[in-house]
Amino acid sequence: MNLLFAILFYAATVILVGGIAYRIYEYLGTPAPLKIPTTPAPTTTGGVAFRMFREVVFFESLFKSNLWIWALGWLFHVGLALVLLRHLRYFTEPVNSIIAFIQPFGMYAGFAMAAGLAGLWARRFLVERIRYISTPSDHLMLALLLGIAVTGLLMKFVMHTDIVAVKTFFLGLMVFEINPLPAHPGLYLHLGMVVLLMIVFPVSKLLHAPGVFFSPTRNQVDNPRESRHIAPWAAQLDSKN
Amino acid sequence: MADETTPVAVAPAPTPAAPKPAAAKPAEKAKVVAPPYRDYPTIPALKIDSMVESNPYVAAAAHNEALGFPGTLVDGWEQKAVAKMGELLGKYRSLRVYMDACVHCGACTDKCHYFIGTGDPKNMPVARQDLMRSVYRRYYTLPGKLFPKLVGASDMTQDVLDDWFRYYNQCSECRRCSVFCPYGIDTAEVTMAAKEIMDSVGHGHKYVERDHGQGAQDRQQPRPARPGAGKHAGRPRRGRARRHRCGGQVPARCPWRRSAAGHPSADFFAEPHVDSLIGYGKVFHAAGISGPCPRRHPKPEISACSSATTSR
Ligand code: HEM
Ligand code: SF4
Ligand code: SF4
Repeated sequence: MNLLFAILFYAATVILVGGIAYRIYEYLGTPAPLKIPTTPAPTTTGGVAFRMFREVVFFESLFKSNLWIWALGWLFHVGLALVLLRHLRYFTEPVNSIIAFIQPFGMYAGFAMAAGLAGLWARRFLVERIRYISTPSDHLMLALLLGIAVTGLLMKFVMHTDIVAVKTFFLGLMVFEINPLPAHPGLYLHLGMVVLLMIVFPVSKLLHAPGVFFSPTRNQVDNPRESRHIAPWAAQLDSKN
Repeated sequence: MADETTPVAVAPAPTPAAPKPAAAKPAEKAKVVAPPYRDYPTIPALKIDSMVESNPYVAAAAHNEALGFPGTLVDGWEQKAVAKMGELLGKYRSLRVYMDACVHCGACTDKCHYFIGTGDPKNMPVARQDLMRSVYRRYYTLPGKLFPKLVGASDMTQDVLDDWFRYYNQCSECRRCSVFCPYGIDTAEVTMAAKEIMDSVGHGHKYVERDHGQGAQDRQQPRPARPGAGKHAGRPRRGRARRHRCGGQVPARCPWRRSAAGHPSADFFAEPHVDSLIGYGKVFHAAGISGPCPRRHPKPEISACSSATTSR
C-alpha cells in the first residue's frame, strides 16, 4: 500500500502539473485576433487586473446572474481554498504561522465546502434547466469532491487516523523516501479520490480554473481605438490585400 | 380601457392647492397600457424541440460558390468539418478556452432571449455551445475519445449538423450570455465558428451567402450603384451599407434616398416599428436633410454620414 500510494502520488503530480502547464502553453500559443472584452470593460491594464481579481475572488459575473449558484458555488470554493491551505501543514515543517493561524477556520471550511457541493448537486436534480444540461461527468465530479470532503471530515471528527504518520509519509515523498502510511480505510479512500481528482483535472471542466485567466472577454483591455489589435494570421491577410 | 364618452379622472385630485391646468382634457390622452410589472422574472419551462421546425433555407450552389465555398455539402464533410474545427481552435483563443472552461453551472441558461421567447432548451446558451462542445470533446479530448457517453461527447453526424444549422442560426450573436457567465464564455464566438465550419463544407445559409455575395458584387461596381437597387427596402445590402457607413468624415450621400440601405423592412411596413422610421425622419428633418421618403427629394449631400447610417 505504501508503495502503491507513493507511485500514485508521483504519477498524479506529474499529470496534474504537466497537464495544466501544457494547457496554459496551448492557451498562450493560440492567438486572440479580435478585441472582444465584454463591456463595460476597463480601459487600462490595471483595470483588467482588478476586474480579474473580482471575478476570481468574488465571482462577480456569477453574482449578477444567479444568486443561488453564486452563494453555493462561492461557499464551496472558499471552503475548498481554506481546506487546501490547511492541508499545507502536511507538507511543511515547521508550519508557516499563517497556515497555523487558519487551522481552526479550515476545519469549519470543510463543512462549508460540503454544504456548497451538496447544494450544487441538488440543483442538478431539482432545476429543470440544469438537469437538461448536466452530463454524467458533471454528477461524478461533484460526487468525487463531496466524497473527498466527507471522508476528510469523517477522519477529523469521527474515526481519527494517525496524522503524524500521514505527515511523515508526505514529507518523505518530497525527498523521495517512502515511509509507512497508516492502514486506515477512510484514509485510503480519501487519498485515492484525491489522486483521481488530480489526474482528471487537466482533461476536465476543472480547466475553468486556469481558463478564466485566458478568457478574452474578461482579460482584454478595451482600447481598440487607441492601439490596433491584430493577430499574426490576420496581419498576413492584411498584407495580401 | 374607459368608455370613449366618459371623461376619465386621471388622478383623484388630492389637494385643492395643486395647480394643474394641464389636466384639463384628460379624455384626449392616448391610452397606453404597460404590461404589469413583475418583481421576479419568470423563467419559461422547457419546451423540448419547440423550435426544431425552424429550419432555414440552405444556400444554393451558386451563392456558396460566389463566396469561394463548396456549392453543396462535400463528400466526407464529417472529417472536413472536424478538421476545420481544429483549424479554428488554433486560430481563436476564445474558442479554445471556451470549449474547455464551461462547468455547466447553468448561470447563462435563462439569459438568452431566444430561450426566453421559445422555451426550447437548445436555445439556452450553454446548450447551444454544447452542440459544438460535444463534437469537440469527441475528437479533441481524451475523455471524449475514451468515454463519449460519460462526458456527453458525440460524433459529427447528419443529426448534429442539422441541429447546428437550426440552432446556430437562432443565435443573433448578441453576446448577452457572455455578460453573465463567470468566465465570460461568449456563445457568439462559438456560433461564428460553427457557421464558418458549415460554410467551409458547403452548408451555408441562403440569405447570408446570397446577400454577402451580392455585397461582394456591389463593391466591385463603380458608384452609383446599379439602377433599381433601392426597390427592396428590406433587403440587406451589405456592400453598400458598409460603404456608406464607413464614410465618416468624407462627404457621402444620404443612403435612404437611393437604397434605404440600413433599414429593416419592418421599419416601413410594420407597427410599431414604423415609429422608429418616424424617429429617423424627425432627426433628418431637424438636421435639414431630406427625410426617409426615398424618391421625392433632390439628392441630399451630407458630410457626416456615420451617425445617421449607423442608426440601425
Ligand atoms: C482560480 C480558481 C477558481 C475559480 C475562479 C473558480 C470558479 C468557479 C465558478 C465561478 C464556478 C461556477 C459556480 C459553481 O457551480 O460553483 C465553478 C464551478 C466549479 N468549480 Fe471552480 N473555480 C476555481 C478553482 C476550482 C478548483 C481548484 C476546483 C476543484 C479541484 C474547482 C471545482 C469546481 C467544480 C467541480 C465546479 C462545478 C460545480 C457544479 O458542478 O455545479 N474549482 N468554479
Ligand atoms: S449570443 Fe446567442 S446564445 Fe448568447 S444570448 Fe445572444 S442570441 Fe443567445
Ligand atoms: S454560465 Fe458559462 S460556465 Fe455556466 S453553463 Fe453557461 S457557459 Fe457554462
